[in-house]
Amino acid sequence: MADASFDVVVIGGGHQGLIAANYMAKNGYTVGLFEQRRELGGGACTEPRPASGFRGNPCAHIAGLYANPCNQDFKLHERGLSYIFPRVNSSMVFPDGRCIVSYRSMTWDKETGLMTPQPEMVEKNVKEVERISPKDAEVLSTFAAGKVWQWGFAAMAVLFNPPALPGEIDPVEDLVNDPNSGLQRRHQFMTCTEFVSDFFESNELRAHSLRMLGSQGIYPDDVAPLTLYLITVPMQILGQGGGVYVGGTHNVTHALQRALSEEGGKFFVGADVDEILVKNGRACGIKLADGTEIEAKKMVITSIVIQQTLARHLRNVDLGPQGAEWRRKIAKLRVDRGQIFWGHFALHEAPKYTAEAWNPDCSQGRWIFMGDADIEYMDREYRFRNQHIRPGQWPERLYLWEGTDTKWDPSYAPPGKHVSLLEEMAFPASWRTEKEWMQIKKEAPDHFLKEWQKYAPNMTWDNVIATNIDTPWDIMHRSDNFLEGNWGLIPGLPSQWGAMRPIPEFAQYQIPGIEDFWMASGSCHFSLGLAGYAAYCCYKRMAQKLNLWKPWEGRMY
Amino acid sequence: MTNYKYDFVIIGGGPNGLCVAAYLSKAGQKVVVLERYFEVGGGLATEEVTLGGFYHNTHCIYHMMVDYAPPYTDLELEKYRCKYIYPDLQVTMPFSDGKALCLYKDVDRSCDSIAKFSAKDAKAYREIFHKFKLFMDEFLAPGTYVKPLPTLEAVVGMEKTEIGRELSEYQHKSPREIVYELFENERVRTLMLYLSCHWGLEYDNGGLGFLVPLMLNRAVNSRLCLGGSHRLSNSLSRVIQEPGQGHLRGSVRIKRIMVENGTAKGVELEDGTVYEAEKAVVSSIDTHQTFLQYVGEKHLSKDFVEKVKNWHWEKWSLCSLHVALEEPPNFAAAAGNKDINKGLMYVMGYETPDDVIHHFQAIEKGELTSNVAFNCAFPTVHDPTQAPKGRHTASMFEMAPYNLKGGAEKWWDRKVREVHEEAVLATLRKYAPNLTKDKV
Repeated sequence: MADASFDVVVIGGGHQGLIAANYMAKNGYTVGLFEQRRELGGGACTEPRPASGFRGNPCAHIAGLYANPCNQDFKLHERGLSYIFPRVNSSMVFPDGRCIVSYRSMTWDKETGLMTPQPEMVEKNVKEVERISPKDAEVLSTFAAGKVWQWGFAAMAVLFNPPALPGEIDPVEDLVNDPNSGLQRRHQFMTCTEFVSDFFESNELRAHSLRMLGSQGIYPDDVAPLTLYLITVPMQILGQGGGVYVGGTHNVTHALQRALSEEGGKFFVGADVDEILVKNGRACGIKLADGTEIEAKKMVITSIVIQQTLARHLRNVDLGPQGAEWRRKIAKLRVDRGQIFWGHFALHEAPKYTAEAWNPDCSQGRWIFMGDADIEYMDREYRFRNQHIRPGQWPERLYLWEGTDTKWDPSYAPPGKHVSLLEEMAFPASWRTEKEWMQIKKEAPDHFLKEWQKYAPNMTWDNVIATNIDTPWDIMHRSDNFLEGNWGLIPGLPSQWGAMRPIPEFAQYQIPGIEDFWMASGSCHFSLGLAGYAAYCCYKRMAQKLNLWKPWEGRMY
Repeated sequence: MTNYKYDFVIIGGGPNGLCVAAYLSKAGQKVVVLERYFEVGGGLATEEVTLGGFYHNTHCIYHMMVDYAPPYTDLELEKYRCKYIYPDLQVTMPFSDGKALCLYKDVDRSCDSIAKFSAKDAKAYREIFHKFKLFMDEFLAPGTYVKPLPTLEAVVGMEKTEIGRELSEYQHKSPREIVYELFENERVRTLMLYLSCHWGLEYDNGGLGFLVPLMLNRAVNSRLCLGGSHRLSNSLSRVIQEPGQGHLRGSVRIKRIMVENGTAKGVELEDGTVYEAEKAVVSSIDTHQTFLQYVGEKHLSKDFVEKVKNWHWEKWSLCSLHVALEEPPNFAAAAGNKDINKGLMYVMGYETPDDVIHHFQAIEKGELTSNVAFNCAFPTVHDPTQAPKGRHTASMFEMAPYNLKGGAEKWWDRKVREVHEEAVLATLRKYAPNLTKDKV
C-alpha cells in the first residue's frame, strides 16, 4: 500500500521537472513533484552573493527561457517571471581599445511569444562590423538579411522539437541540403575554429564567435554540432539572445511552481527519490530514501541526469537483454565539457571600459566579452591552458565574459552598488582534489581582476566589496544532477546530440521496455542555458502518444 | 494595466505575512502575498552562500517556542514537511580555561552544570526555571498570541493573581539588576545577562524587565527546522497555495496602498499593476514603510503620523558570518563533557559580565570590539542534510552597530569585512581549536 498516490509522479524540481509537471497538471492529472534539495529550482537558483544585499545566480544567468512557449502556455508573466532585454546584446572589447557592439535586432512579445526581426538593427550591426572589418561587413550585408535569420530559425526548430523520427523533417538536415543556405555538409565536421574561419575574414569576429561558442560548453578546437553554430552566429550578428531575469533566475522556479500549485499540483522538497518502482514492465511509482512509497497511477516522469537514473533509480530494474549494454554506454558518456568558473563581484561602481571611446555602448552589452583576437592561441592553447589550471598555475590570458545586471535591474544590489558576473571555462570537478579547488577558488578573483583591468581600468581591488567564485566543485555539490559540475548535464558534443542523445535507444525520452516512464531530462536534449528544451520536447512526444493537449498547433514550434 | 481582484492583499512575504495568508487561505479566502524579494520567507532564509551544497540559515536559525505558537498545529505544518529537531543541550558557554556552562532542556542537567560553578546559583536557576515556566504559561505565552490589551487593562489583569503580581515586579528592573539579584557567580551572570539581552533588551534599561523571564525561559526552548529555516516558509507557502485560491508574487515593487474614504482598497505596483482588495489590505512590513511611504500622510491623522515618526529602531543589529567546515567543532571544553560538541547554541567570547556590558557600550559608540563575542550554531551536527556528507556549517551571530563609526557605508569596505572575519574566526578557534584556517 503506497503512502501517497498521484496520477503523475515527477522526479526533480528543476525547471525541466516543473515544466513537465505543469503540462501534466494542465491535462487534468493529479501531479506530485519530488525534489531532493532544500528548495525547488535546480539550476534556476538565486542566492545572496557575493555578500548579503547583493544577488547572484550561481548557475543559469542569461534569461534564455523566454523563447520557450511554456511562458505563454502557463502565463508565467502573470506569475512573477519577467525579462529585460538590453538594447545591446553582446560586445567584445579588445586590448587595443576597439570593440564590436552587437545590438538586439529581435523583439519579443510576452503575451504571444512572437519574435519580430528588426532589419534596421541588423544594418546597424553590419556598420559596427565595418569599422573592424570591411570585408566581413560586405559578406554580412549580402548574407545576414536572409540566411542568418534562416539559420537562427532552423536552430530554434531543432531545439524546440524532439529529434526527428523516420519520416519527420530535420530542420538542420534541410538546411544542409539547401544549396542557398550557405551551409554545406562539410560544415558538420568542422571544429569551431575551422567554422568561424570559414565564415569570417577577420580575427576579431572569429574571436567573438569562438568565445560565444565557449558559453555553449565547447572549446575552439572542438567539433561542435552544427546547430550550435546556427545558434551562435545569429546571436553574434543579429543580437538575438537571452536577456535579464528580473529579480533573479530563481523567479523562473517560482513562476513555474505557482503555475503548478494553482493547477492543483503538489510539490515536496527535501524528498530524496531513491528508486523508480517498475512492475510488469511499467513504472508504477517511486520510493524515497526514507522508505516512503508513492504510487504513480498513470506515469513517472524523471528530469534527472541519465547516469543517476540508471545507476540509482533503476538500479534494481532488469532492463532486458540489452540492459547491460545500455548501462555500459551511459556510464561512458562524456562529461568533460560545460564546466565553468562563475565569479560574482560586488562593486562600488560598474566597470568602465577603455573601448567606450570607440563605442560607448560596449559597456551596455548583455554579454561583454574580453579578449584578444589571437585565433592561433585560442585554437591551440586556450583549452589546454584552462584545463591545466592548478593552485599557483594560471594562464597568462583569460577570455572572460562579464554581465552587470544592476545596469538594468537595480534589485540585484543595494542602492548605488553593482554586482558583476564573470565567466571563464573550467574542467570536470574530479580533475582536482577538494583542497586544490578551495585554493583555486581563493586565487581566482585576483586573476580575474588582473585580466579585467586590461579592459576596464577601474576594476581594481579598491572597487571590490566582496567576491565569490563558483567552481565545478561547487556546482557538483549543489545537485546530484550536475555530474562533474557540468551545467548542461551532459555536454552537447556531436556524438551526444539530437537523435544520439544520450544514446540512440533513449533519444525519444523513453527507455524501451519500461511503459509509462518518460525522461524530461536535459540528458535527452541539449540543455545548456535553462531553456527547458528537454521537458518541452518530451511533452511533445507524450502528447502525440497519449493524445494530450497540443498548444503548439498553429505556432512556429 | 492589469487589475487583479482578491479578498485580501498581503504586503510582505516573511513569516508574518505568510502566516496571516495561510490562515486566510485555510479559511477559504482568496489571498495574494506581495513580496519585494525574489522569494518569500523573509528571515526564514536558507541559502548556499559559501560553497555548493552547504546550506546556511542566513537570518533566523533558532526557532523558539514552537510548542507554544498556535500556527504549527492550526495549519498542520508537520503535514507539510515542516519538522523540528530539539537538541538536548540548548545553550553552551565555553570559557577559556576549558570549562563550560551548559543549559539543557532538562532542568536537572542544567542545574548540575551550574552547580559546578555555584551550588547557590544552581538552586536559584531551578527556582526561576519553574517560576518562569509559570509566567510563560499563565501570561507571557498567552500574551504573545492574543491581541494586545490596553495598558491599563493589562496591568489590572496582572494584579489579579499572585503570579501576575510577581511578574509585574520585574517590570521596572533592568536585566542587569534582575540577573545580579538572582545569581552570584560571575560566569553564571555572564551567560544569563547575555541570554536576557541578546534579543533586543538593553542591559541597563528598566521598563521591560518582565521580558527577562521570557528570554531566560525560551533560551532552552529552541529548535532547528529540519532541512533549514526556509522549510517553514516552504510549508506555509504550500498551505497558502494548495487550496487553489492563494497566490504568491515575488520581485514586486509596491508604489502605494490605495486608500479611498478612509478604506484601504488595494495595492498599486510601480509598474501600474493593481491588486484590488475586496476585504482588506494586510501589511506585515514596518510602520514607516506601511504608513509614511505607501499609505501617505494625507490619509492619516496628524497625531498618528507623529506617533509613527517617533517609532525607534533597535540600537544594534547582527553581524553574521557563515562558514563551511571540513569537520565538526571539537570544543576544548568537550574534554570534560562529550555533550558539549552536540549543543545547539554556543555563546562564546564573553568571560565576565563586564565583557557583555563592554560589548553593548562599544555598540553605542559604533565600534566593533577587538575581542569578538557572539552566539554560534552548527546545524549540520544535528541535521546532516544541510551540508555535503561529513561536512559542516557554522553561523556566528554577533551584536553589532548598524551605523558603524564612519557610517553604515563602512560595512561595504572589503578590508573591514575581511579583518573582522578573521577576528570572528579567532574567537571560534579559541574555544574549538580544531577549526584551524585550513578547516574553514
